Amino acid sequence: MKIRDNIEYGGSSFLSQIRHNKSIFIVLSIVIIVFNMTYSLAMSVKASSESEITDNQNLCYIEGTSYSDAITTDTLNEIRAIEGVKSAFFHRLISCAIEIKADDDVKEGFMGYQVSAVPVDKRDIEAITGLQLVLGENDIIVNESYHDEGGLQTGTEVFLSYNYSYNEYTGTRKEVKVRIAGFYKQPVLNAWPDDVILVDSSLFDTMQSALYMLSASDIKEAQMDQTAIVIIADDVSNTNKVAGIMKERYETIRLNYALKAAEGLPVFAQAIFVVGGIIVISLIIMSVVVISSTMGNMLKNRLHEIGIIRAIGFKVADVRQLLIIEVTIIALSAVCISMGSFYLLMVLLNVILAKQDLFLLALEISGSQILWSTGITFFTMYIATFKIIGKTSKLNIVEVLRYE
Amino acid sequence: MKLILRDVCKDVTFNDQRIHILTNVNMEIRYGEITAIIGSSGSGKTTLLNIMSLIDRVSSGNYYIGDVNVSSWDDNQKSEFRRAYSSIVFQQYNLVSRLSSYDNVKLPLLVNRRINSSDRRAIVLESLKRLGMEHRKDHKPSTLSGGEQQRIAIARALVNNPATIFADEPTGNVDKGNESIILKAFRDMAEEGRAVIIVTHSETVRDYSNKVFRLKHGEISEVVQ
Repeated sequence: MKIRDNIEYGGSSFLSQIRHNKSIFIVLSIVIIVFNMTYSLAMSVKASSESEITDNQNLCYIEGTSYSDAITTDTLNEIRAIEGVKSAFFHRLISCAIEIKADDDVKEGFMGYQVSAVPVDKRDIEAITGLQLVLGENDIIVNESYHDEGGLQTGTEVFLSYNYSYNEYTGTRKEVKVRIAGFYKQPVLNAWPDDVILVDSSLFDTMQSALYMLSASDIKEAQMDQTAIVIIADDVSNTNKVAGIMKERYETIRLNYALKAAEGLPVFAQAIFVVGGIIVISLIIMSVVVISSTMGNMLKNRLHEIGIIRAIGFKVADVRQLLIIEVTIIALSAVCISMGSFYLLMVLLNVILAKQDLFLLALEISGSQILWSTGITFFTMYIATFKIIGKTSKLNIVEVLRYE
Repeated sequence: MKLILRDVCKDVTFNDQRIHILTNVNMEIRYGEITAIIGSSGSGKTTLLNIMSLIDRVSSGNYYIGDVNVSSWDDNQKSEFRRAYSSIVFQQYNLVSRLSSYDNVKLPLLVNRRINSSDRRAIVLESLKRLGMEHRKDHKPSTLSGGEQQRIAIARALVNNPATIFADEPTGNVDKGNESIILKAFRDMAEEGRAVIIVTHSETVRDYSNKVFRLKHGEISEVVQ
């Protein structure tokens, strides 16, 4: 039998049975939609994690907290010497305020911003801000969100006010005139509030000694050891390596870094694949049962027709070929219907995701997805029908025609 | 050439009981003649026709087409014979209900790779014309009368120019007018050198036949030349 005749006959048979094929289209569409949703979602999560990792400098930061021994200056120096570490410093903070006023005699009616000061040296400044700056004792670098606030510009002179205790329960404010040496984009760290300004260590020690009623040298001595540390890797790709070395060398320091969470995204994508895969396989098994039963009923209703064509000379192989072509036509139609349904669903979901500002998770259809969907559909159809086709094509002509 | 049956038996098992449908049937059928097989219901006429048309197999005995013993042929060989050298006309017409008259008649040609589509169309229309059914070529079986359906079935049987035509009660469900048209068509076919084997109750068919076998309880009881 010629393929063209086969397609013509199979096509007319398909059209005459199209109402009965509804359930096949429905189950296959469910399988293909779930498969494509899983595939697209996992791919978009993976892609979004990759773009987050390469675009986000926050991922260079590692925060360390010692939960037993304090971290000594020697340890800090060892950490600074680790390959891939750009900078490392103790995590220290003190509350203060930037006040904008003409001179220190003004007591009322001036503008001020509550900020947190962090002491840094030249290496830290370059690592945090990317600026090649040497801070003088009275220089500060301000979070860029304050830029232009109340006229704050690079070079503007302001007052930095801080608490000064002159006895255990009483104190007052003290202030020092400082110059804004620049602005920087503050990294997002768990231990840092949103208002961090960077100051020279000696200015920081001055402010702390005033708070704790100690001399600057005493406070320096007292602050030799700390329990928290901030480490900056020289590149995002080195963050994991540095964290790994840290974990190996300093078991008592608990590390927290954003890349750790970002690393989880590909794992999350894999989890979507695995869970989605299990669901898709279950649905395929269910589809095989449904399709097998539907096709079984359809062919049962056509036994008479098959008996007739066998009686007029169609061989078992001709009938088998005819039925395979029919199944192929059904499978092709199912691919078109299911991919069309998925496309519409995807457009709808992308509109919803866009409204939620989740552009990175926008779903897409790739060529490989279409190939996979086609493969799954054909695989399901053939698995579901090969036994029935074999059985039907070998029917007993006399019995079928006599029964009718 | 002849169709020869030698001691053909057909048994079936039903509820663990062996039932003899045909017992030691011996027949010789010549080409160029109409052969009628007559008998009452249950006498084994249709089974005999099914064996001769190779859609059923003998339980014992031999069936020769010419010099070839076809009793042991496999399914493919039998299909090849049915598609190339014989046709069957059924009592219940056995047309495919979803296909038009034209497509029903075309069916046997689908398995003939040597005929191209334009020749195929001409052959189908010629076959329909021969039975006076050309004007009904686009009609589906459900829109045709019993007689018309049988004529379409005969047109289908003739379309691949078979040497042997087997007909099971071809006039059983048709009126006198259609019966006459059908039998004349069979007579023409026999005159063209074909073997026409008709299973029937009808006495009219007997009048058109060159040879009549009377079947009783699965055995040939009488042969009338």
